[in-house]
Amino acid sequence: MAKAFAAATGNKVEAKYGPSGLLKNEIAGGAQADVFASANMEHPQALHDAGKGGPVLLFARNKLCALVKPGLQVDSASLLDRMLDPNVKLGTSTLKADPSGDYAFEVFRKADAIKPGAQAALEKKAQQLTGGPTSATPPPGRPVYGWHVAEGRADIFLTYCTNAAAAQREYSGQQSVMLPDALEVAADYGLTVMKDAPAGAKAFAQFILSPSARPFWRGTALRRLPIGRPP
Amino acid sequence: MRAALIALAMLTMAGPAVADTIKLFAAGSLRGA
Repeated sequence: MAKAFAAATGNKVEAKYGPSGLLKNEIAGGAQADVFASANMEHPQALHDAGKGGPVLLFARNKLCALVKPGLQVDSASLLDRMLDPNVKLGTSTLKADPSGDYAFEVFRKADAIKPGAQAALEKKAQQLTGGPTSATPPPGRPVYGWHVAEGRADIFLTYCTNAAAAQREYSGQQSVMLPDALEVAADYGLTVMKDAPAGAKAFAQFILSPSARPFWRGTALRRLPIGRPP
Repeated sequence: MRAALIALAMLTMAGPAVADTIKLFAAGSLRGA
């Protein structure tokens, strides 16, 4: 999408990807960013509230799935029991540093309504393997979540459904399991244009939000999700 | 795709006269979009 925008307008887009919480901290600490596209609404809102960014706009949605190692018998109905199984290793991203970790812990909170005590048990056993400032990184070209599962650090990894799909493409046999309705957590993505950004930054944000951008979402891991629709 | 590019050109027609370098900070899950 950035390439298409650059080709059509002559502007250049330099993209930096990372856990949204860490990116937010970088920007708050003075890093120069013109557009911040976060996997939640809270981080860009915090920058807006601090006077560093403009209004926060919802631009995409995702949701959590369970990435499951090959051979582990689990479906949506049995997922919570499997996650609670002491013999099953559970992975998440890092709380606060990465919204994916925050969403996983929201799943744990919801689990408590189904099985009292589940929240504490899951929070205790979950290994926060990704998205932190010191998290291990996979070899080049390897999707990080599938890599952790393949290396045996997690038997079940709560991550975005888009990430689970990417892992499945790279690691045959890994499974993507939908969360049951009672545990489902949606991820709203918000963006803000930073104060003092060049005019091209606003045009880029407008393009991301416009119906014109929808064709560019196709063919990505986000294609099945209701991108760009209002909440 | 062609229609989208035309719409993009129209959308940005009133944009900057001078090309900008835009620094995008984006969630890792958006890589590839």
